[in-house]
This record gives sequence, structure tokens and C-alpha cells, in this order.
Amino acid sequence: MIRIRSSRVAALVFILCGFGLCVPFVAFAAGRAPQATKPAAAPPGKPLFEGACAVCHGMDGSGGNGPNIRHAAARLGPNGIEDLVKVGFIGSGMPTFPQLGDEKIRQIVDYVVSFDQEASGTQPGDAQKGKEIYRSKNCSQCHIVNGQGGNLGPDLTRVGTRLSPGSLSDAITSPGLKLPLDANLAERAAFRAYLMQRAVTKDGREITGLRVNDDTFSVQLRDAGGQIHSLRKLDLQKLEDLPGKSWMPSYKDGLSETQLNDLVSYLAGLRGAR
Amino acid sequence: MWNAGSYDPETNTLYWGTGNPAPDWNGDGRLGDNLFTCSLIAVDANTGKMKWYFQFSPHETHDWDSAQPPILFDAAVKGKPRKLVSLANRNGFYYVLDRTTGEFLTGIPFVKQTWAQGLDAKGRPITLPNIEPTVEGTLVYPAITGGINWNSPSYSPLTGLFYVPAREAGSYYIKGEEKMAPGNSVGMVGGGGGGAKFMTGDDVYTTVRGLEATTGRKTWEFKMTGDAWTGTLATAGGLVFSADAGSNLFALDALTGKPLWHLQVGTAVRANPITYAVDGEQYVVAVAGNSVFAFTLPQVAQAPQAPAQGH
Ligand code: HEC
Ligand code: HEC
Repeated sequence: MIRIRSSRVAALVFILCGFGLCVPFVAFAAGRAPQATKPAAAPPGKPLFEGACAVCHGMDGSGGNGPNIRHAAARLGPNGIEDLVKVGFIGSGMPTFPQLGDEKIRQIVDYVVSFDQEASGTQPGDAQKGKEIYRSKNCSQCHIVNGQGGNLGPDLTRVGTRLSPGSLSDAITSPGLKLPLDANLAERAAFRAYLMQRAVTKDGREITGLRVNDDTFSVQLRDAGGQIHSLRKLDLQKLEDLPGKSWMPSYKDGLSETQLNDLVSYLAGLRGAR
Repeated sequence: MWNAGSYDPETNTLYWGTGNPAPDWNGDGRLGDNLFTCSLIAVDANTGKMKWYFQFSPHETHDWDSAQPPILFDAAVKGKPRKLVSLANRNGFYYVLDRTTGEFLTGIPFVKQTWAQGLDAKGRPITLPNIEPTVEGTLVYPAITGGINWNSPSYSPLTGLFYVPAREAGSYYIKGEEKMAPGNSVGMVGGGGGGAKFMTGDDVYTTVRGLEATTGRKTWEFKMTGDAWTGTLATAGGLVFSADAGSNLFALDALTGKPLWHLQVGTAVRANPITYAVDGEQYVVAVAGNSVFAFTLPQVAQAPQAPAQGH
């Protein structure tokens, strides 16, 4: 039954995709944010997970008939997992769980996210202290939270719905490691946002910057000072990607383990206005 | 059939490419070659009788129909002048056939493809293992939208090049359950026995490529960002017109592919540009959104050209 139904959904998506207006299945859709991760003694998602999911993913998420999902949050983000549990995974053995309802699904998602937290070695920290660290390190020079801050980096108002604690920790200690996806581009949803590029013009000028737009005939790069350079591709002798490079400095050495955990907890709790 | 065919007045023959068999992604209930799907068919224009057929993709399971517009041209192959028909197929291969007999002459990929080792001497694909759609999804190139789709290629006798709007991408092909039943529409609307997930990101792109028409060898390419859906127009003035996904209408040098001119028209160009002459004056026209853009060269000794625009 499930298989037959999935095939119809797949075909439906094909229609949407037919003329290039395609949205990938498991998008980082801006759905509803799960509830804040609360490190309680017995998380409410635990018994739900063990009842609904463990038969395939194992009691601790490390796999069985289904895959190991202990790191799934790092890749899919809380919203991605929520979507997956709501719509299933087309053409696979992963069923949908609409009967659980939004509230329980969010509790399960929080529980799955906590696997990634354990796996990455981050501990739940003090979000209030984390907020203070965010202020003292001047992160808002480049990031917006609730409308306040600079915009050289991504808006972090809802970053807790996009990134798991493990990914947040990576983003702070190894900037550029995983470039954030820009979920706003409808046509090519996985266009790599925040990619750094180096352009050399035919007359020898060199510009390194963040790619803010790229089309067939021109490219716009934003330099460290925030200035945008619009370049005609015909005038360039070279345009190269600089994967792994970021305007964001690494805070690997600038933060103690406790401080990092506090900062991650603060960011994980940023889930936007509901 | 869902796309334009071609007509050869000399031999009074119509050429049409045919669609793919259904259910699209599940071939279990339709074993065999499924004639005359995914074929080029030559038909006598007076009697409607089939003169010959050539099947590109026997037992097709990736939704790669063969409805792409066939191009008729005459050229020398191995020193001998021949009447040819060529077709850049959705399956990723470029084919050249003798248009009087349907004899297969050449076929090579014009985009990345991962489903065939190549074509045999008769032009039949030698398929690779593990390319069939599966319940989990199988990654195969080209994408479900094909190496080319309905957007027309063009040919210039001046350069001997075939100008193909080519798409570089793969898809995850998914197999579902779908049975043919009376009264059930199949294909896109009815289910089609599966579907596909797109690859996305910077690795997916579209190009205009200049292929040597008799061999399919690539001589140049013009790379575009995004997912373009415009055909090409080759002119006697040595230009190739097309448009990209970002609404840039452009002209390339037909010999080198170098961009010579472009204009941001502000909305999608998804029809082929066309050209014609009235009272000795030549026009290039493109439809973009709900507007028609017409261009002509400025009168001698007149100021820079102003594009005429109307609805
Ligand atoms: C009947 C077996 C089954 C059950 C029950 C099940 N899953 Fe799955 N799940 C799968 C399979 C199989 C996949 C792999 C899908 C694929 O990649 O094709 C999967 C994939 C996933 C993934 C994505 C893993 C990744 O890295 O892509 C997540 C997350 C997930 N399941 C979470 C859950 C949660 C949460 C529940 C309970 C609400 C659940 N699953 C219940 C079988 C199951
Ligand atoms: C000089 C500018 C700059 C400063 C200062 C800066 N960042 Fe960033 N940040 C960026 C840029 C650019 C990116 C995107 C590229 C990347 O991921 O490296 C980014 C990415 C991130 C991401 C990943 C967001 C996502 O959606 O994937 C997080 C989380 C983050 N920064 C947190 C911080 C924190 C916390 C601080 C302060 C300790 C900080 N940043 C300071 C520029 C900055």
C-alpha cells in the first residue's frame, strides 16, 4: 500500500519538476520549528522514538533494518527530520507518521537531534551565558538575529531549526567547512550560498569575495569590507571557487569547551518568532 | 508524438520522433523493445505509409522519449555526399542517419551519460548494468528532463555545425507500481510507475554546444548558469541566437561560440528565436513571457539600434 502511494507522490513531483520548477524532496523547508531542546532526565521523545522508530533504526538510532541516524541531524537539520517523519521518504522503507501529530513528532525530532549532540561531543550548555559570549565576541558584526546585526554572513534568527548542535559547533570552529545552502532560490535550491570566489580581470585586477549572484554574463562578489563588485565575465581572465574559505574567523582557539557548549546552546535555541 | 517533425520536399517524406512507452519507469509489464516508441519514423507524405524506422532506446524506462526535432541536411560522409537526418536525443546521444534509408551512420554522447557503454554497429545501445529505476532510486545521467528536451537545435550549412541546447545533470530514477488498465491514463498524470528526483546545485548546468554535424564531435561550448529551456537559431550571418535561464537573449559567433551580444529581456524566453525578412529587411524575433521582442539592424548612418517592442 505504502509503495503504491509513494509512487503517485513521486509522479506528482515529476509534474512539478517537468519544466524546471523543481523543489527537492527533503528540502530545508522553513516549516514549523521544533520545541527547544530541553536536556531533561527523560526526554519525552525517547519512549515515542522507541515505540515508533526503534524497530528499524535501533534503540539508540544506530541502525537495524533502517540506516544509522545518529548523525542524521547534522545533515538534515531538525526541520529536515521533521519533514521526513511527516511525509516519509519516497520510494524507500521509511513510512510516514501523520497519526502522531505535530507535538509528538517534534518531541521525537528533538530526541533524534540529541543523538547528534552526543556524537559530536557537544554538551548542553547555558544558553544565557552563550548569549553573552555571542555579544562579547561581536558575532553580530556579521550576523543578524531578530533584525539586529550585519549581513556579511547568514541570518541566524532561525539557525536552531536549520542546524543541529553538532553542525553549529562545526560552523564556529571550522568556518567554510559546510557552506550553508540558500533555501530561498526556488529554481536551484542547492545553489551554494556563501561560496568565496577569486576573480582576476584581464587588466590584472584581483577581487576575492563572497558570491552574491552569478549569471551567464556577470558575477557579483562581496569583499571583506562589504562592498559589492559587479564583474562582466567577458572581462575576466580567471574566476575560481575557493571552497572551504570563509570571511568568518575560526573560534577554535578563542573559546573554551564550556564556552563553546554555551554558545551552541544559545544558537540551538534561536528558532525564530513562531 | 508531442513535438514538431520535419518535412523533406525532395523525397516527399515526413520525419517524426516518437514518445516513450508507458508506464514510464516500470517496464515489467511491457517486455521487449516496445516498437515503435523512442524511434524516428519516416512516413510517405501522400500515403502515410511508413518508409522506415529507427529505434533509439528500445524498452525505455527513464522517460527519455525521442520527440526531439529531427534536422535534415546534406553533407559528405567518408567522402560520399549523403542525405542525412540528425537528432540530438533526450537519452544523451547525438545520432546521424541516412534519411533515405534510415541507415545508422554515427552516434556519440553529447552530454554526460551513464546508462550505455556505447552504441553497436547498428546504433542499438549497449546498456550498462544497474541503470534501471529502483524503489530506492538509481542515479543515472542524463536527468529526467534529458540531455535535451523539446527545445530545438539548429544546423548551419556555413559552418557544418549542429547547435544543441544541452543539459548536464542526472536524476534518481524511482520505480513504482503501475499497471496499465482500460480507462486509466498513464504517464505523468496517471502515475507512470515511478518518478525521479532531481540533482541540484552548481554541478547542474546548461550549455549551447557546437557539434560537428556529421560526427557529433564537440567543437565549442557556451556555458550558462541555471536551467535554460530555449532552442537555438542559426543564421546566414554567422550567428547563433538563444537565451539562458536568467532571461538573457544572446547571439554567439557560430564558428567559435564566443558571445557577441546579449540583452536582458526581463522574463523567461522559452520559445525558439526566429528570423525572417520583410521588404529586404531582416528581423530576429523572440517571445519572452507575454511580450514579443523584434530586432533589426540600424539603418546606415543612424544612431545606436533601438529594439522595437510590441505585444
Ligand atoms: C519500517 C522501517 C522504518 C521505520 C519504522 C522508521 N524508519 Fe526512518 N528510515 C527507514 C529507512 C529504510 C530509511 C532510509 C531511507 C533512504 O535513504 O532511502 C530511513 C531514513 C530515515 C532518516 C534519514 C536518514 C538519513 O541520513 O538520510 C531519518 C532521520 C529517519 N529515518 C528517522 C525516523 C524516525 C524519527 C522514525 C520514527 C518516527 C523512523 N525513521 C521510523 C526505515 C524506517
Ligand atoms: C567577519 C564576519 C563573521 C563573523 C565575525 C562571524 N561570522 Fe559566522 N559566518 C560568517 C559567514 C560569511 C558565514 C557563511 C560561511 C561559512 O559558513 O563559513 C558564517 C556562518 C556561520 C554559521 C553557519 C550558519 C548557517 O546557516 O549555516 C554560524 C552558526 C555562525 N557563522 C556563527 C557565528 C558565531 C557564533 C560568531 C561569533 C562567535 C560568528 N559566526 C562570527 C561570517 C562571520
